[in-house]
Amino acid sequence: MLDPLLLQILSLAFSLLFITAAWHKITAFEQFRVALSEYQLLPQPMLTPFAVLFPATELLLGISWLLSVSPLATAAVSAGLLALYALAIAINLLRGRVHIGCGCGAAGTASGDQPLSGWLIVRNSILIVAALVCSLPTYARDFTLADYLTLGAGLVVVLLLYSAATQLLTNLSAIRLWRVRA
Amino acid sequence: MNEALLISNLILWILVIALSVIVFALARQVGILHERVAPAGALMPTNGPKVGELTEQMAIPDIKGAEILIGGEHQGGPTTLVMFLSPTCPVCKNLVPTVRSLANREKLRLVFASDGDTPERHLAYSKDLGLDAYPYVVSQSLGLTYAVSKLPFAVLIGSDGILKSKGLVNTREHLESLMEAMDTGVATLQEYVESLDPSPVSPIEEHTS
Repeated sequence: MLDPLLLQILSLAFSLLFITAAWHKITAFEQFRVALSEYQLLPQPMLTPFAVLFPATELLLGISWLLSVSPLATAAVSAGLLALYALAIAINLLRGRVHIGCGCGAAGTASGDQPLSGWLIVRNSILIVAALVCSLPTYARDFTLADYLTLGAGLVVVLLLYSAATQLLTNLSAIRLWRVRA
Repeated sequence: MNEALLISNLILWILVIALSVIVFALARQVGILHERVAPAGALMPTNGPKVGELTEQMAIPDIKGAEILIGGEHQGGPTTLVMFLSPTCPVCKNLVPTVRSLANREKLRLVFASDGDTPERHLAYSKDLGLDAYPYVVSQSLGLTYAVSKLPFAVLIGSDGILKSKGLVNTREHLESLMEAMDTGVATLQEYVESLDPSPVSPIEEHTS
């Protein structure tokens, strides 16, 4: 049994994650399309439909996490989408195409897209586990003031740590760029 | 007892949040440090086409409509210096006079390249900096082909279409390091050090022969 408080923290965090991810893809649509084509997994005519489909799915997931619409399906689809991304990254890592941008747009800036690395798969795996945890059965209990405190503070800490991890990944790619391999 | 726990919990949360903020700020500062500390020569990224490779020929219309050929085997003529810049990049603006004088001195064919923004913005920018005499292309595919991730970025293509040198250029020294790389045929300092014979013939051995 999962405490509803933990579920609530994770749900809100996932909601923010998917909505910001979708937002970055929509505002920098052309860049996302290019990043998607660089993965070399989709035939040319399918690029634009999929470039629309991914942010649309993310937006939908973000909203359903926020309003906890059918939590089981939301958790399952989220885990599936994250697994799909991880698979696409893994395929390109095996192909040796490490220089391409990941298209996650997490860094926010136009040029801040990070190149592929094994760490992105680690990140996605952690997120998948978190999504699956949310699909565990919970019990109902009333929230007290202390619970709301934990909810708010926990959410802030999760977001800060996630941003810090993303920043460290960006730093790592900057260091890699400097190291000239013979 | 219960109240003490609640207060201790509150204080702990405040401390955890403060710690997270500090961790994030530290990571961010390391990132900024990487951006600020420029290496001595032009920073050459390891991605994109390699120095010494034949570039692919690209025909791109410039902002005035004329077709500009960049790269490729049949390029002919002088060495081409493709200078990637953007109207939103202040360093690029300062570097333009340097690039022009260098191109004049070394008799290079100078092409300016950019992407994004409206054509009017680029026209105004080109007029503003007095680039009318040079081809100015706006193309995202050109930037992607040469894996341009930071500006100002320069690419040097020989008359035979071979990529001679490339890199992030912030100063005259960086630009000249590109020329140096072309003239010596050594792409980076690391490559030069590695090319040195690790076991030079000692003078004693020479005497015995």
